[in-house]
Amino acid sequence: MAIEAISEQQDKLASLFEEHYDRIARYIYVRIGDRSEAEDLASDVFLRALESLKKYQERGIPMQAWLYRIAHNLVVDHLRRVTKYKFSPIEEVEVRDEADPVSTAEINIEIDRVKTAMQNLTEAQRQVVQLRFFSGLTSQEVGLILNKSDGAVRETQRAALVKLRQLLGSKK
Amino acid sequence: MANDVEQILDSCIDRINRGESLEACLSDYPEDASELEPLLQAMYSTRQAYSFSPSADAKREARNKFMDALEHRRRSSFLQRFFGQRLVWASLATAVVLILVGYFGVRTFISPSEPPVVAVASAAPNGNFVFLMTDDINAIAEFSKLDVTIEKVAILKSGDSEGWIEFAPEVPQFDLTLLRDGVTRKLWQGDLPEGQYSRVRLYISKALGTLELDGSVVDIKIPSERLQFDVETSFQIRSENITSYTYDLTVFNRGKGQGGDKYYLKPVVNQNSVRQELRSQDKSKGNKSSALPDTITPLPVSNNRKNNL
Repeated sequence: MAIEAISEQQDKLASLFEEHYDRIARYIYVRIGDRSEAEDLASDVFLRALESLKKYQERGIPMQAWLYRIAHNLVVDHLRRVTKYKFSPIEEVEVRDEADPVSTAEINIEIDRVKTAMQNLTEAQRQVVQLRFFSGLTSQEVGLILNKSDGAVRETQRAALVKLRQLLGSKK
Repeated sequence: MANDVEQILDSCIDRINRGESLEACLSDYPEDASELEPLLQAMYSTRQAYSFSPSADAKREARNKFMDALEHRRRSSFLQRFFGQRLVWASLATAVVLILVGYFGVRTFISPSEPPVVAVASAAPNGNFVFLMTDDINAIAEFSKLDVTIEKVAILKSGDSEGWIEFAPEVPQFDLTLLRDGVTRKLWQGDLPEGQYSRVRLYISKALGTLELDGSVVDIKIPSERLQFDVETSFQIRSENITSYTYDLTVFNRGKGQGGDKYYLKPVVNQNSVRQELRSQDKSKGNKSSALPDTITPLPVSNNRKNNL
């Protein structure tokens, strides 16, 4: 790739940092359940992207979608490394409303219910939920990341929500 | 569910992602609201359970790392372009060098990417350079003790005779919690060659903190995992002066990790400071008059960094 083109891509990557760092960190957090590690890995995503900009050209997908693919790969590597591959071994969520312990307990119960429900989704459904609900990507962008059509993403999304609704509703 | 409702659901999720309310979306599709509402409620519950935003510190650090890496790459690209335009000449020059190298029987011709260590400086009570340490506020209040051990310090002398000058601190270990509020600790004083200096590198061998909260001891992480910090700087050392370099090291809390809070050490680059004062020429007084005390506590209202050069 010409040096000018690389420089242009570097500018574009830099411009994506502000908007996507938080989203990518959130996407990673939902998958690994460790806030600090999620922040570190989100940082690594941008460094890895910078190193691999030459390869990016060949892939033909929007740069933000490519960043999530890198994030996905880093998450897989991370989970393999810690040898605890199960979805969302999420750390204790801090609920800061200490003034109302009843409300706090209720929120914690709700959080547990949602976590359990998420674990009952298929891997494809979880990926769509993570990218759509936590990273705020469009169905089209999710499709590009997961190599699926928009229609397939919408269908998976609907199926995931129906399942979540059943699981969350049935325990009430 | 019909495809059109699937489309509407998708569009509602997009709108909610952009900050619109669930009710606003449902009111636009009253005939499908009963079907959409429970699904969108499930989305809300899920999002709420995993709500998380990275800390401002973490984002700042990530941004700095990224921008540093970007800058480094741009510098490399510039060099590539510079030499790329002169490819033919460079090839010819390479061929000539190879012929010469072969002719004179020199086995290797390697240009070092890192300047060499050119000297190891010794401590001297009235030396022209003083290395001090201080701590910036951040998470230091969470520690009752934070022992940092420094293996060595290296300072890069620029110019024709570029190279690292190293010294081992006379005080290799110090408690960072005692260096708050502008208090500085002198770690070394000695003579360095005169000239312009452009970088200070700190080699940390260990950093262990004792938490104020429960007395537990935590190993402090160093982001680069190289146990060394480079700080770009610019100062001059002259024999008639004593140059005092104050290195500002601080500890950050990175939030909860597996096994408790995580902390890391980092230099506060913009707080590192250089001060110069005239060195005493009166040798008969035992050179004591210019030697700095080991610990300097600033006056409450003064800013000890006002003399930054």
